[in-house]
Amino acid sequence: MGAVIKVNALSKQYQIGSEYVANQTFREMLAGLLSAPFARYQRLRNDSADSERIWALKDVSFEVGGGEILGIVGKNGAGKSTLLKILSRITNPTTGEITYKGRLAALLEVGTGFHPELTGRENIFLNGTILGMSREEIKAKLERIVEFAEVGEFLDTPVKRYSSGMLVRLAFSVSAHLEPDILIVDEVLAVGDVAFQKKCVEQMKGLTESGCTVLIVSHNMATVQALSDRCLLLESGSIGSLGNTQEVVEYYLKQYGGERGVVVQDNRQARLIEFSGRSQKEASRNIVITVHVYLEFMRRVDDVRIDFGIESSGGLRIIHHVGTELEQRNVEAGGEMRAEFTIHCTQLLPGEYFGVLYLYSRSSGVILYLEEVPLLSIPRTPDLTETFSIHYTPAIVPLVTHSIEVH
Amino acid sequence: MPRLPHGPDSNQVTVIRPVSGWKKLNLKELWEYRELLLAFSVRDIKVRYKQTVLGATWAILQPLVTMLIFTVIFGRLAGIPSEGFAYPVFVYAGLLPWMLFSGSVSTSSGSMVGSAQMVSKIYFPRVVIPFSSIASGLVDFFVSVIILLLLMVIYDVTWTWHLLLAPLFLIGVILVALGVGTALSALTVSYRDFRYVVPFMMQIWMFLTPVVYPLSFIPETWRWLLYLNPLTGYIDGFRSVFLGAPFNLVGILSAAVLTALVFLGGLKYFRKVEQRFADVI
Repeated sequence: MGAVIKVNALSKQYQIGSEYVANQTFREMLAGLLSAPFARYQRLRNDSADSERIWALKDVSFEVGGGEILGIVGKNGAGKSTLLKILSRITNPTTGEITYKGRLAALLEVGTGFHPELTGRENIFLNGTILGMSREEIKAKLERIVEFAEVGEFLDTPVKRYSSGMLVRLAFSVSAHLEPDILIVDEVLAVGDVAFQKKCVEQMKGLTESGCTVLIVSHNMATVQALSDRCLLLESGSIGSLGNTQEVVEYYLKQYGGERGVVVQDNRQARLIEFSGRSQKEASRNIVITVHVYLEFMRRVDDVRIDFGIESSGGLRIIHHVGTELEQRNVEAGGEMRAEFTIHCTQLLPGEYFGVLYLYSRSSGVILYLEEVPLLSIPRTPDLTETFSIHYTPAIVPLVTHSIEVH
Repeated sequence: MPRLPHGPDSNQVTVIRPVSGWKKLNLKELWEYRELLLAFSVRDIKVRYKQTVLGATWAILQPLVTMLIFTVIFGRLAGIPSEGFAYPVFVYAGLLPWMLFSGSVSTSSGSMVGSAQMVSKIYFPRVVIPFSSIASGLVDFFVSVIILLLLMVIYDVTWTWHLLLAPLFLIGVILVALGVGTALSALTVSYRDFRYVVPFMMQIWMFLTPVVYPLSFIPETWRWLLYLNPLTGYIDGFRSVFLGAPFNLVGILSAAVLTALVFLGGLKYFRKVEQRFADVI
């Protein structure tokens, strides 16, 4: 199939600290009108009109083919939400244009328009209508929606009495039963328990099989990797990388792996430039993890060594490495240190993994201590689907050999 | 595969381009989203009666109590004439359409800000929000009309064929309310202090409309000023409908012309500013 969505030189400009913010009240607007000529004169003199405008998107062009799943990734403020808002016609572009074929539905947030006083059934109809389904259509799908959400017995209870899990399941279920030509999904997969997430993924895959084009925006690299073939990386409003998902995700982790995370301790003797990881399949159920650490030193430090840990997104420490005396080095002021660690490891469960880094020296103690640095993303491969789909969610997935005898 | 009721079909191409300046009214799109209009209306009505202790009693009590107070103050103490009818029936017949109007304008003017979450998350013609917000006021109105018909029996006012014309005046009041409410809802998004302006405005507007006094109470030389208020013709008309009095054609015609202006003007203004709601709200 040819391109279903064509985005051509799309840009969006927001004004900050300008008229929109200033005119919060009518009184201020009247005052603003009176002082406007003077303000404009000042602006002209200072030539600072542009400083109040930011480009949330700048010259973005790409195409999406029919039945394709495109992942959209990027840091906060990179322009992902703005792109989605323009696509779903919530806001208008400043320049450029988008052409798309067929009906487009956007799930920017599940449960939009849910009313706490109304019952589950009433909310299904309300939410379904808001999303673009007709009453007839909702009636026809009601049974499936309720079954998918697993809220059957509470259907006629006001949703204010629902648990947050139930509410999210119901809301997603309504959205999941839309049947558009183009579906835009923003972070909705981060709902419910693992079993429910699995169901959502299945539902979405089913949609694409029937020809629906899907755009997924997510911070969760594992989701993007599991679902999408191609990926678009936005960097401060422009396209940073566009192509094969695996390549884009690796580029992303390399680019931002070091600079995110939580700094717990920093005595300003060294600066982290890169802390990134990569995993490669070695054999069935065996992987090699390579961890890179790149540091710059502001002062001379003796006997520096690196400790690091790898944690699952649930916070479980899976690997911890303590640097030995053999790994200690002396670094001059202005010097750099590049370290590479290779770990032979059993297969980890697909998902995102975070790094913990400690930099020690015998004289200074802890020089640098960082947590929650996005480090690794283990892709979902067909041979792991079975383990992933059930409720057990083990941390490691080693090869299990067997010897079973029957007498 | 079931089709979405609104939006284009599978083969239609949609183009998203920058928009600026005045846009078309696009009433066709509003019609395509009529189910949403209905869904929002039903939601408002359900929620209104679910959350209140007195439920439907409110719809009866509010105008009744207001009518009693007005009867005492304006009818008895101030001695305002009521064209030969019992003052309670006279004032109640004017009060009902007025309360429908002021209630609708108040709820719709706050409706856009109240739906901020939805506006920033999903697309539909924004005008559906202020339009649907008048639904619960309409239900209250119909309940009160039943009370009025009973009051007429009590005060010995005969039901005439004029009653059949009530829907025409009702539509007039609704159109003015939609025009004013829609414009105010857009203004409230940009300028939050309109929240305080609206109740004040409604209070003044009521006294500039022949609600507690008959049109004939105003000296003939100044009466044309009242005709600049589209509600004058409708309130006066409603009174003729219920009390069986002759219709004031000048009032009705001027109201009809002004209604068209107010409705289209309000809608135009809303369409002009709606494109930046999601950015501002």
